[in-house]
Amino acid sequence: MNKEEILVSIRKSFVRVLEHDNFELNETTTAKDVDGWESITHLLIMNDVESAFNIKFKLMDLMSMENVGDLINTVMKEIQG
Amino acid sequence: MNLIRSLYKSFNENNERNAFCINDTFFTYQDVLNSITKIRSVIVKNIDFDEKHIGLVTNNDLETYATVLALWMEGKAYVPINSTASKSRNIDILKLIDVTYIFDSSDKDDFSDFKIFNPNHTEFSNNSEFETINFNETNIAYVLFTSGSTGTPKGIPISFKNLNALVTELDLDKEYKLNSSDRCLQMYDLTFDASLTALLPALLVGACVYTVPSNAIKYLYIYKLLEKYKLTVLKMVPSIIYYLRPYFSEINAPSVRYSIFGGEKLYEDVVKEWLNCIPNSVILNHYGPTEFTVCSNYYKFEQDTKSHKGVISIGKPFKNVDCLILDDLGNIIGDNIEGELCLSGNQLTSGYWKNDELNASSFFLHKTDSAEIKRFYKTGDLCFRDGDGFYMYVGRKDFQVKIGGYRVELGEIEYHARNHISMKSKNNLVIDVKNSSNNDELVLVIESFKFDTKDLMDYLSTKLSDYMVPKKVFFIDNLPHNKNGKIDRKQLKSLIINE
Repeated sequence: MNKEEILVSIRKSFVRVLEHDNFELNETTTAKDVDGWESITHLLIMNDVESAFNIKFKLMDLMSMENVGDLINTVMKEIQG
Repeated sequence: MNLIRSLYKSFNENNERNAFCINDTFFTYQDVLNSITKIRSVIVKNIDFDEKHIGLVTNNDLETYATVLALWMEGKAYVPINSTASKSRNIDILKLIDVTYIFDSSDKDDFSDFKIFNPNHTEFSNNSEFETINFNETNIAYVLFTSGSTGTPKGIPISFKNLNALVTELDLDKEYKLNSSDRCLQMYDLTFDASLTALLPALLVGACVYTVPSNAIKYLYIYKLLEKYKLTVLKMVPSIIYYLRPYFSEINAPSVRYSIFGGEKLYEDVVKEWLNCIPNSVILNHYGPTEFTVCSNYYKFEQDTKSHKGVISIGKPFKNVDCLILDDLGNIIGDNIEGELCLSGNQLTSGYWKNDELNASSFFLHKTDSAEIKRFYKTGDLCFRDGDGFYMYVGRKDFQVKIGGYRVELGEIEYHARNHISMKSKNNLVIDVKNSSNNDELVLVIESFKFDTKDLMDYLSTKLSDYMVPKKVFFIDNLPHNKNGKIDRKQLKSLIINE
């Protein structure tokens, strides 16, 4: 799975949790850029991404994610085992 | 205890120690004292003695914390304002309390109707004369606003007499003794009174306070602080550990000596798992309404836990606090019977700000067993006392809920929703439901065909604090009613959950 495919799937998680698709998602996107992506929804989005890829993030990974690019890289690392 | 004098003493005795760690920068007690001195000079030079209530924008910086202490030392109260909350709500609050002056250490220009002082840019005069401490116990220390069911937030003034009573009770508590080596978490915005029990016990002993920025994802930032600085005292809302629960196996924090919760129901099963992450810690569950200066009761967690339906007991009242439980007719009821918890003592507010009607219904006089006539506050919390004298929290008597520890009157949200043009002739109500992390989330239920609610939600964001804006909208053709003709909230909840 390449980065673009992961991004498409991640975007679906965002839409499912935030219940809107009024946002651009790319590697530099941060919480500031997406309406509704805040403290509470963050974990719900992460849970949805975990389910979508059948992976489990480490707390340390979650802590150091600063943008969608970091999220994609973490997903890649996890699915590659 | 005289809070202000004790704080001043602690600041002078611990001047070389670190007082705050804010965004990874340390500030000593001397740094804070220097900032306090500068801000006091601004107050003395610019603000009349009779001007008692000063707005304070709650930024995460040294100047904001120093302003609280400088205002107190000049006999003034702070009225905390969160700049991320609705602007119109903030202005309503400031006007209700006749605020003229605001301290704001940020460069935002949100309050043009008021006189603003920015501690970072204001010219300071070093030769201002002021008394060592201008202290009077009847002075108000702060005024907090909580959600009001009529659409207008309720102002709760807390005096130094109230605050002194709180810190005296905490000081008497043998279960909870901090020292100057402690590293203490401060995760609360200053609009939330739990910030005081995170800050004051630490500052009174010369410990270091580690703050959490308001825009951070709190549970992750707290974990970062815990890992990096080996915190020893954690005062948190329970929802933090509910979010961290899936990751408990990765958390090992033997440095923690005290883990204190408050502001929401604390669930026994999660706490038992949390204890594995903090094996050397005492766990305390604090309870108290803002009207009673943060905390009236507490429970020390033990393996043989006192709990009711999985919710940990709120324990016993502080030594000088009187508790009563009343039935619907106002009669005192016996042990193990559910009723409304009422509180009396020196921590009790003088009453809601300019709200005679609410004061008449919320406070009452009662002759106690010792034949003293005391003033009590009806908390609205349904509780019972067990045979051992431990109080158990059951739920709310009204439509108030807690979101992330903040009190929310569902009626305030419904009031503003009704006023939006898209809601004309439509019934609405707000329901709290558990999300997948077992935290409460607000859902706006609208009796209508589906329509685009973006304008409505944008409008609510201008009227309400962030945490009050419903995260979801649920449309229904006909609201369900129970046999008494009331809207059946239980059925609605199950419809929403099973959607």
